[in-house]
Formats: sequence, structure tokens, C-alpha cells
Amino acid sequence: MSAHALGSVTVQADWIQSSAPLVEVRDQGLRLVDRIAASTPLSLHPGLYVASAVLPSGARVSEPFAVMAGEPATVALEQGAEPVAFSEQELIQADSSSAMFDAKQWWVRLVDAKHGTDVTERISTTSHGEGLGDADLELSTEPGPGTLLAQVATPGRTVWNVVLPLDPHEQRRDCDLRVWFDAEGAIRCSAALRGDPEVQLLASYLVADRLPEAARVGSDADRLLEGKMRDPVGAALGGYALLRLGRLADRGGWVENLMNWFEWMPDGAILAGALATAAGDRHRARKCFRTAAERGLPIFSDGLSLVVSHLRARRAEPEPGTPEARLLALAPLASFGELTTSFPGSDPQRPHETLEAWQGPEPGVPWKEF
Amino acid sequence: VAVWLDRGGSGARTHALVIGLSAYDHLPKEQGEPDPPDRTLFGLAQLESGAASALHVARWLADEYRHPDAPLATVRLHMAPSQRELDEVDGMKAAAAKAGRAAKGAVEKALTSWFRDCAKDPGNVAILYIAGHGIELSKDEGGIVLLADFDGKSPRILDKAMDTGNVRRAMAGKTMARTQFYFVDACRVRPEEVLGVKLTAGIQMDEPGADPPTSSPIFFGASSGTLALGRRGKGTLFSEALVECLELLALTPDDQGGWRVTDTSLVARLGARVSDLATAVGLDQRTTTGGQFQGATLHRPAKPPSVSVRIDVDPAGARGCAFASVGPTQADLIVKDHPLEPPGEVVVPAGLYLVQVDIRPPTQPFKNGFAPCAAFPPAPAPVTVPVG
Repeated sequence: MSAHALGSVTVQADWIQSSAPLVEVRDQGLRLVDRIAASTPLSLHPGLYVASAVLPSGARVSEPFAVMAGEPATVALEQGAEPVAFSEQELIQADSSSAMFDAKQWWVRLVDAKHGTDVTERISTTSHGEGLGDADLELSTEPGPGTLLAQVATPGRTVWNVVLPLDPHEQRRDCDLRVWFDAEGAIRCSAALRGDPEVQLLASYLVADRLPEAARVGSDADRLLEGKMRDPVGAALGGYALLRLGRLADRGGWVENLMNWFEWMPDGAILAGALATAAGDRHRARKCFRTAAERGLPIFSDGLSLVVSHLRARRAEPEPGTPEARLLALAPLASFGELTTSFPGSDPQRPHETLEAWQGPEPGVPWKEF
Repeated sequence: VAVWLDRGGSGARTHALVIGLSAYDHLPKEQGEPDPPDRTLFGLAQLESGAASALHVARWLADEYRHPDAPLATVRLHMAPSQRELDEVDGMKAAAAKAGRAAKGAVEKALTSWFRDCAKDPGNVAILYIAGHGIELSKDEGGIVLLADFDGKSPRILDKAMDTGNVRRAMAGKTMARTQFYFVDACRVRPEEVLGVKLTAGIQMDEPGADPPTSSPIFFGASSGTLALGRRGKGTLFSEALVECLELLALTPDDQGGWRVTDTSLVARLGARVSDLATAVGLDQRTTTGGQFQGATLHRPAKPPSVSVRIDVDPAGARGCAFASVGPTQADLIVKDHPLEPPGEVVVPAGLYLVQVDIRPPTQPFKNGFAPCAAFPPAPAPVTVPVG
């Protein structure tokens, strides 16, 4: 067929804030024709096609269309009104438990995730986000050292801890918190990334278990370590997506940089350890995971999971009191369904010893009330 | 070792180990009874849906499972059914008589023979499904599942338990199945109950550390409390959702247009479906997933799934004289002259179609029309054909 007999299509999807090829185009036999970026024209032979993409919630949206010879077609993949910050699962839970979120007061404080010291004074602003419920919070922090952890509490329930997806030194100092009660009545909290829409999309895909889409967005994670975009938290998230699909092995240098350039963050060393494990280099894996443990709590629950698996696969248990022993002890308590590391306990340094119900703000501890 | 189903055959094959626990030898009937002084039982009680879930999954494998490169060869089924399951689940008594016991000794032997079958050909597919009381330790482990003779006796409290993380790490080597799937359908032991317990299960396998599989995802369905979510005497919500996903919800077209379920399509649907089912009964259940994914095929049905498409016309005033036909082309129709008064649904094999609406008899101001239709599972978007 001659070139002039072709038509074309451009798929519009404003919600895809990424240049990754996230739109699938299939022909009438459902054979994959191409994966393209939104707003990128694609030449096609006349016929019936379908364009589809995965929404941040994890749902797939499809739109059939016909291509005529010589005519450009435009197809819109609509997102609808769905929110993007939290996963479909979290929203279902929040909706189903919203009636139970009857806490008249709840409190938040910030803790240095490595040392356990209170740094609540680094909360610069908090606000109830537009379109979010009463128990959703936009949190901004002042710059400073170390990974941050938020504690949420209400009297009569065990305190809940969530590591925040923030880079305390750079521009990523804002995130969203969603506070809710689970079916057993425990107060829980999830953290979601703010800022760069591409990283938000990546996080949404990961939370929704849309791994191929996450890996496609994450395949561009290299640039997140460069120039003004310098975003090690987003880069680590991209690394986890690629790792899950076995596509990180050819980025050893990049992972090395993530580990060495951002010593405050355990996740780069975890990714390096996972790569070493996959390569059968047990010595290096052990060294990387030990480095990670010494840096403190991983930001992402994938990271905690990988450390715990590494430690459990070793024949010898870590020495009591070491950072590795601390992470291993955390495993039965951790909630691996969340994007970031989260677990109960009023003292994040000794969570298993502090699971008792919280009685209210302790004297001298600067909880912020909501 | 009793094999519940053995189809034999040579070349790459699928081997499944399916274990379901409801009746525990040493657990009290109801939650809340204090542990005997010489046992650590974590406050657990009997379950009512573990064995039914295992039977549900085993039957689905026997009746429906289809892998293009590794047909099903064996299903090893080990169960500890409750009395209610024996009484109420169709075929449970006969199945239980043929299945192995879900206690440490029998499970250890089954695990060994399953391992050896899986290790005969790297093209094999290995499937492990286990339902029972479980301890979640990480996304990449699958956790520790307590077996029927779990007795909580010191000095090895978890002696009668299986560590799926250890099993997964052991399933490696040059001739081992490169594609593996792990499903842990756990009634989660409350974390505070296991603090201070050495989390080493009695069943342990060597972990070679080299030549890991290319695909070995873990799907962990953790329900809270001491009764597995689900209907008593019937399967768990996790097993119900799993089979629904395998049959329809997780089907996705491959690059050539054939329908299949992959590790990545399953993970994208299973968690949401479990949540949906739990929410519908006022409960809360989450799944966590980990391990290695690769887009590996788990199931390819013999034919495309059937889906229901709602068809209407615009303006609605044309319904009385509108008849819809559906097919890949106007000359190749699957549904012909379906009346649209009242507007209804037509069932078609999943695919991409043209919906053509004829106005008969010719009625002004309406005219024939057509619209494309993406009839994809699980619920295609309704199609409205303009005839104005």
C-alpha cells in the first residue's frame, strides 16, 4: 500500500504527564501495532483500531477508532474524575472506613527516621488539600538532614508510623498524608508523593500494581539524577519498578550513583544489593544491604522487603542491637501494602516494645493537633 | 507420595502443589481461649475456608488451566478440612480421601517430590498455592504458613510450619522451572503475637543461590483476624478473586492478539478484586505482591472470553425501529439484527467490532449508523450508535 493511502491517529490523554510510551494501539485482530507517547501522531493503514492506556488508579481505559486513508484522527482517552494521589485500593478502604473515622482529634509529629529524634519543628505548613477528605493532609517540611518519618496518633489506638517520600535537602519537601482507620480500628496512614507529575504517575502505577506501566515511566529514571531534576526519591522509585521486572541489571552504574551520591537514603544501597544478589555476588550484596541498614529505615516498602528477604536468606542472624537486626525485627509489624515503609509503635526505634494504645500528647513532645 | 492428579507426559509441564488448612490439631475452636501453658499458639483458632479454597483452586487447575508451552501434569493436593467443609462443600469428602494430609511430614514429602518434578525441565511451570494461618514477613517472602499439626511447642515453636520464602529461594538451579507462581492465602497471625519468636519454619530446603527463575511472583492475600475472610465452609475471598481473575478479570491480549493471563496482568487485578469482594461484605482485605515479574504467561484460555456489550442508539426515539448487528466487518457478523427496543446487551467473544444499526422500516428522521466497539473484559464500555 502506498504511503499516501495511510491515515494517522493522535491519542490525547492530558493526564499522562510523561513522554513514556504508555498508549497501546492495537489493530482489529488485537495485535499490538505500537506503543506510543500521548500526543504523538502514529501513521496507520485504514481500518479499525483501539487505543488504550492505564489510568493512575490502575484501571485501563480503551477507545476504539477508525482510520481513513489520508485523514488524521484524534482519539481522547479520558481519565474521568478520579483522583490521582492515592491508589484505588486506598480509596476503597478510605471510603469504606470513612464512617469509622470518628476521631475528633488526631495528632501528627515528625521524627528523624534514623535516630528517632523529634523534628516536628520542621513541619513548615500543613493544609487539608483541595478535593481531599478531612483526614487528608498536605505536608511541607523545612530542609534538614535525614529521612523523615511521620507519626499519627489518636487516643486509645497504637501510634502509626510512615516514612515520608521526601528529599530533605532538595526540592522534594512536600507530600500528602491520608489518615484512616482499618477494619480492626487501628489508625493508619499512607504517604503519597507530590511534585513532579511523572514521578507521581510512576508512584500511582506502582501502588496500583501496574508494573509494566511503572517500568515504562521508570525507564526514564536516569534523568532524575541529573541537573535541576535531581530527585533521588523519584529515581529510587523508578529503580524499584525496573527491578521488579528484571530490567535494572543494565543500569549498574546509575544504581551505584544513587547509592553513593545520596548517603542519607538507604534505598540506593538496597537497589545495589538487589542487583548484586541477582548477579550471584553474595559478598557485595551483603555489603550493600549492610550499608543500607546503617542508613536507617528505607523510604519505600519495597526496600524494606528486599532487606528483610536478604537478611532471612542468610544463615546467620544479625547481631542483636545492630541496624540489620532492627530492620529484621520490624518485618512482622510492617505494612507492605503501602508505598512507603510504615508500621505501628509509639517509639519507631523500638516499635515492638511500644505497641500499647496511645494516651494522648506526652508532656514536652510537640505533637501537632488536627 | 499421593498425587491428586497425574497426567504424565514428557517435555515441559506444569506441576502444582496446592495446600489448604482449616482444621488444626492443636488450636481451639474459637478465638480467645488462653494458650495451654506448654504451647505458644498465637491466639489462633480453627479456620473454615482454607481447605475449600485449596479444592477450588485444584479443581480449576484440573478443569480449566491451560498453558501453551507447559500443559498441566500434576496437582499435589494436601488438605486439612473442617467438619463443616466436609459436610457442606460438594465433593470435599471424596477429594479429601484422595488428597494428602496437610501436616508437616506429608507436606515435606510432597514439597520434595514437587521440587523434583519442577526441576526436570527449565521450561516447566511451578505453581504453589497455600491457604492457612500465616505470618507475613516481607513482600518477597510469602511468609510462614502453619501446618495442620502446628503445636507451638518450645524450643521450636514453628517446627510444624512451611516457609514459602525458603521454598521460593530453593526453587533454583539450571534445570529448575524458570517460571514459578506463588499464592499465599493467609489468615494473618497478629504481628504482636510473634514478637520474640524465632521465625524459622521446620520445613527447610537448601537454597542454591544460583540460577534463579526468571519469573517468580508472590501473591500474598492477608486477611486480619483469626477467621479467613470468606463464607464459612466455602472458599476465601482471595481464592474466589484468584479464580475470577484467571477466568476473566486478568485476561489481556498479547502482542499477537491472543488472550492470556500473565504475572503482570494478574497482579494488576487481583488486589483490587480482593478488596472489592471484601468491601462488599463490609470487611477489609489487602493483598501484597512481590518477587520477580516478567510478563510470564500463567494461563491461556482455549477461546476468547465472552463479554456482554450494552448497545443503544442516539436519539433514543429510534429504538423502536433500530436493529443492531455486531461483527468484525459488515460482512462477517456475530450478532445479527438484535432489536434495540428495549435497549439490551449482546454477548460476544472479546474483540474489536463494528456495531451497525439498521433502521427498519426506513423511518424519518433516522438513518442507519455504525460505531466501533471495544468489547474487552471485564466490562466493556456501552456503545451508543448515532442514527440521528
